[in-house]
Amino acid sequence: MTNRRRWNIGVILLLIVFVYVLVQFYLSTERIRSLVTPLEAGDKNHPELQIALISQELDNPFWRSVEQGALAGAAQYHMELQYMGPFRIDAEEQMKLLEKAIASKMDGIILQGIGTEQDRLLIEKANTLGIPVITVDTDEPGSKRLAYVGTNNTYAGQEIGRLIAEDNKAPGGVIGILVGSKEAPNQRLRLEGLQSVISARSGLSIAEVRASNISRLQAAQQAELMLKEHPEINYMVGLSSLDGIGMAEAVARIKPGGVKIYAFDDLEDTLTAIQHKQIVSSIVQQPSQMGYKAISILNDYFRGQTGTPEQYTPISVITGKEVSAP
Amino acid sequence: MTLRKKLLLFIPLLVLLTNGVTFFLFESSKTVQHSYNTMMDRMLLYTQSVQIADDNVRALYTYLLNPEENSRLALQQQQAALDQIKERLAIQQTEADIAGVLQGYVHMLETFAEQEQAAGTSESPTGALSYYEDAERTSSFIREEERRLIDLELSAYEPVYRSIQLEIVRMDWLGPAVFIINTLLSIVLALWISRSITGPVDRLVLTSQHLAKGHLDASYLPGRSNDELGILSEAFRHMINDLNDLMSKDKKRLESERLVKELELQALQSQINPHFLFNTLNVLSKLALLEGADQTSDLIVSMSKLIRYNLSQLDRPVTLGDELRHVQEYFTIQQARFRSRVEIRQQIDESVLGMLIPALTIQPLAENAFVHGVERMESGGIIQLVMEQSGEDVRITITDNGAGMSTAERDALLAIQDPPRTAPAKKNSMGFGTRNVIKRLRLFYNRSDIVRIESEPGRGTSVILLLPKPSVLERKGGPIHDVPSINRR
Repeated sequence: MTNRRRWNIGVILLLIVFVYVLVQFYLSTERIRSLVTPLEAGDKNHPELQIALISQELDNPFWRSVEQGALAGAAQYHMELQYMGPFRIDAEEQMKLLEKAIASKMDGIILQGIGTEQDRLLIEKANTLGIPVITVDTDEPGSKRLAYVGTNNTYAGQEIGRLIAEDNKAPGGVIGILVGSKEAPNQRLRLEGLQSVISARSGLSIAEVRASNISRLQAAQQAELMLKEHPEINYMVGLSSLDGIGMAEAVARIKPGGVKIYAFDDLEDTLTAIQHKQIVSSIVQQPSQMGYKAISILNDYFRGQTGTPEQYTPISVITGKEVSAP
Repeated sequence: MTLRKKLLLFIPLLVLLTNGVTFFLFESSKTVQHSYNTMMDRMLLYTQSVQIADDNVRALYTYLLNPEENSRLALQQQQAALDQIKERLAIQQTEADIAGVLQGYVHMLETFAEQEQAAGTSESPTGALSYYEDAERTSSFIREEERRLIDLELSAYEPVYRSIQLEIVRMDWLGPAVFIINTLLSIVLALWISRSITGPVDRLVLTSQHLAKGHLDASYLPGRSNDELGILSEAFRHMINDLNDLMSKDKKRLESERLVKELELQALQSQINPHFLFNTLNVLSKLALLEGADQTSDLIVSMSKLIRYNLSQLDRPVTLGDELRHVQEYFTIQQARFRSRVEIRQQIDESVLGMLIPALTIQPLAENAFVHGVERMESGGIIQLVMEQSGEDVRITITDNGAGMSTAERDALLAIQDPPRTAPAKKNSMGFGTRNVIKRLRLFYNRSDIVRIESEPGRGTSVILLLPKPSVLERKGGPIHDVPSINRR
């Protein structure tokens, strides 16, 4: 009898092991199926609106923030966002992408104004084809864009001017300025705003304005040249995001502690420099909000509502206090 | 579980399990194959669409250079091909990430088609040229987008491909495991089922071999089980037990026949033809009556009755009354012999006389009481015969106050087995007749406590028969063709 039971147990054990292996097989099959299924998925037939976001530079943190905001908006309003942009800053490529987006019959396009005639023509073409275009960060004045979403650049320039004027008690403040590009409308507007405040104040003067071409190395190089040519400079202003750090490096090499630096945007390095007192303060924009707002304006447009063509996002000033506080 | 059920359950189960493995393998390879195919199809579609767009540009250019009928037809053909592939691309279902890009691509093809159409139908050559340039530019976009789509497809497929590779490695490992386990399971199941058949069959064969040799032994049979062989061996067991019962009954029957034969033999040992003796005695009694010797005549009649009783068929049961009369005849003769030396007392309950008992059971006991009990006494011998109801049973007691016997002698008398016959010649010794009676009674009633003997040397012996009342049997009297005896009483 025990012998017989042993046989039964043996058979049952083997059966269990076999069934286990069989279940493993089944699970493998199921996993493969589930892996493959999304490749052919498409049970939803993409009724969503396709929105193209053309950035200035693909992996720029500022533009990635814009993308994040836009993605949040797209998820909320059931749109699909396609983020694109040149790998390096390249206005030609940006325009080509815009042309492609128009050829792909996107439902809406968000882009940075480039400021060329061709760009304006393309925006007009999109407009005739019924594709709404929103400019972010930089406007395209005189074009048929639906709206501009971004910082009031003139106001931002004025804000920096006011910061310097408040800081400068004794007369004899000499300012060196770096801009990302002298053609870019946003840079021009910032510079104009800054100049308007400086010229109104006695005791403050601008030594020189140079372009960094939105490159950290060039920013450092230009700042160094500027400091060598104008040793009297005691204030430096960077109007594009990488200028501040480049200037801080140049100042540390040539005239440590002798120059007060005002920067733009809140890159990680800029914040670190503020913490180390290499940069006094920085004007911070809201790129994520720009992206989100652009999408919500498009949503309003699709639903037949139109708002004001200029939508300014707020700016804030970050100093050593704000950086060390949180 | 019966053998049939076992086979019907386990063989399909095994096949099912094995087939399950094959099925899953087939299924997964089919899925993978399908995914390869769809992706490949899509990629080919992309490439094909680019090819067609290029062909369109070329056809459009040819048409614009010399707008003739056949170049127009060629252009239309190309446009139709473009439309077709556009439709096919539009219904493709892809991963969610790619779907948007694909949609854009299809739109781009549409834009291209529109521009081409515009170029083809434009009135002014300059307008046609500008549309042509647009179309050319769009076709370059299409090429770029196609490359991007293929890149996207490949990069979307890559992790899937890696995971599928991992799964396939797992399956490669599972394959041999399944093979081994499956083989083991098959072997064990085959052994298990065949053992459950051959084991009991072997035991049945062994048992029947023993049976053939005459050993009725059921201990080799397999244990109880519910299958067909279990039923078979159960039947076998029954058969053996029944055979054993029948054989022991048969043995008993043979034994009782042997004892009757022995008794008959004893009766014949007088070596005188009993019929001749019986007839002679009847003639003698009539003669004695004629000569006036009444008493002699009576004795001879008693004698003749004794002999006649002995001549009757001894293997049939008789009533207690018949047996009593026979004993009384014997008493008459013995009384004539012993006269006043022996006093015979009888105490008979008439109601028990109808009971059936084996013939010649009480007379040998009475004879024993005379021969061994009171024969040697000068005077005062007493023999008492009591027949009475005792509960359900009938008690017959024969008591004498003679020599008695020792405990050893008594035990030898009551022993089931025959003692070795040391002195067969000693015919009238206590034992032979009495033992014969005791054995026959035991066989007749199939009980061993039928006879009790109480005895003490010098004080006498009591033989007590306790006969259970059997259901009343019909008594068939045997035909007697002898000279009728006369009875004056």
